[in-house]
Amino acid sequence: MIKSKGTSKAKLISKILVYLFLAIAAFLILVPFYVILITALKRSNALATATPFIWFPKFADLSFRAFKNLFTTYTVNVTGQSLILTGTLNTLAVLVPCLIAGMFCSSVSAYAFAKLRFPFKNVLYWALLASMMLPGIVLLTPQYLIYDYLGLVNTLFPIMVPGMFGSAACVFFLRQYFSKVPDSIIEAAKIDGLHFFSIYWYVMLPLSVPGLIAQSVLGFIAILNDYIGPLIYLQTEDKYTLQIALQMFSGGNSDDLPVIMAGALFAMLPSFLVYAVAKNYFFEGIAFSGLK
Amino acid sequence: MKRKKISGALKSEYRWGLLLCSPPLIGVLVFLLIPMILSLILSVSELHGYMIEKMSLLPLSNLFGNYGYVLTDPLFWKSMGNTFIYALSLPLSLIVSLVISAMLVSIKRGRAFFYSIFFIPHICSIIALTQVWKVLLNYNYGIINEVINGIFGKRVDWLGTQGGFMTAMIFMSVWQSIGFQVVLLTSGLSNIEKTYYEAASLDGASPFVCFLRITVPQISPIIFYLFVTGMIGSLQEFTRMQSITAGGMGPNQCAVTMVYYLYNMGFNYTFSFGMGYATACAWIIAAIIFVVSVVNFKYVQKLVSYD
Repeated sequence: MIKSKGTSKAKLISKILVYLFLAIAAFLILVPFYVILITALKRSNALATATPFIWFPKFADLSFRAFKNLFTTYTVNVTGQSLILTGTLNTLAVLVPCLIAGMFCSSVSAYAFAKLRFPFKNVLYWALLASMMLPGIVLLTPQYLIYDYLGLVNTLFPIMVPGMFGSAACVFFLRQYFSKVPDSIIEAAKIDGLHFFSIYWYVMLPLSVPGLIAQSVLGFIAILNDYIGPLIYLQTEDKYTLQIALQMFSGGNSDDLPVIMAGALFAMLPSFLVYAVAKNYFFEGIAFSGLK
Repeated sequence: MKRKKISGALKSEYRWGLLLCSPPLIGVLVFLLIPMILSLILSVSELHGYMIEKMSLLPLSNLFGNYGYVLTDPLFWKSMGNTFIYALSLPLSLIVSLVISAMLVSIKRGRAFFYSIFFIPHICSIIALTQVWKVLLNYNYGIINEVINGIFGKRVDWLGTQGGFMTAMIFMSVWQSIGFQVVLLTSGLSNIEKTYYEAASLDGASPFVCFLRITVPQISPIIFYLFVTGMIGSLQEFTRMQSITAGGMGPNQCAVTMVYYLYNMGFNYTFSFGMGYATACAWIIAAIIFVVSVVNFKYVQKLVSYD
């Protein structure tokens, strides 16, 4: 990077300073997560809310009581099941169809725009891109009214189905990815007798795995953390998604801090898992989209 | 004149193309265009409760009555002020991210390690993070007050006073945004060609001058992208505020952002005619976003240098 003239000793000192600065920054980022973990493990609320804050509690003060209470004590009125588990299941019920169908539709569409010829192709593509510019908040009220008329409020439909059609941003990203696949491979596949859908399935998809993973991870996190949609549409406890369940849960249980922290930790777990597994694809995908 | 015959194979390609490209477009038509037209109509109608059959257009003499109601509501203006103050977290985080990125680029080993750490807040659920920050900011046992008490001997009421609340929220937002910005900025910084720096140092330029004249212009497109998208996101801030106040408005109503105001009007059952007002409010917000974006593209973009 910037070459600084100086003795190797000066360079060493500046390098140490840089690492020190970065370490402090990383520490500041991680401190809240440590707080969650240690608070969730504390044996009682009194311990958790004691002043001064206990940084390193004695081993005897730690327990998994909070986690146990999280799953057993706080239940949905109607079904008697754990609130947090119900939330998780509902979120999964939204995630799986939405991700699979959404990725399929987006990638198929991106393939068509990238590699097929058809009339109105440019117009349709620009229309899709333009749709990204529309501000989403103006849709909150009319969509609610329409769903209310159709009787779909307090179901998972409004949260799940729109995403199943694919998203314009995903199409945009994947199209850039697909257009990099050399036409010669496609020609070869055509000569082998594959027709368009098979080309998509057996040729394009396997060649674009990093891009697909990056978009899937982004979509996963967006659906997982979606808040305002579920907040508006889901009215009874048995329909809450994980985020709403967590919010309702934390709002009403402020006298048992370890359990709230355990809930927060649980809600972050899927993100952590996915992140740990798909980290590299993720960064590649984001860097790519930012440089456009 | 002979009309060129389209071969069967090409016709087939046309059909497949139109078929395969359609799902997202159908989604846009059904879930975006149609509601948007309804939204326009709704903003100049009155609607009691949520029954769409009972919707009726406002009389011509009072066609923009919903807009008038929102624009004369002091709470709306307060919410607009709040939103813009919270948007200050954007330039703040960009500066911090730039410094961190500059440092990251200068080291070779450990870059991936730091990436992974800085990015974690970005992927976490905002609700979970607000709960944690509530604990951190607690007057009595929050560690932030612990540290401040240790140094200055006083404690700050972060969540109970307007100044403290807004500062805390800005800080939390910066903390969360750094990861994403650092990743983008670092990849941009590492793509700057070394030859620029070599030429500059041959000419005797100091590192500071190199930074100003080479580094900043080269990554200005990325900074601009982050600024524009960040601005649009900040103007629609909602989840964080609603979550940390558990549905309340914060001290002196400072937690109400424009979208929070909209949500309260349309979905909180306190207004009979809320839907009309809320829709008008949504279009006002959309207009503000549009104006801000136009200002960005006309004036801020002049500072960006494209090669």
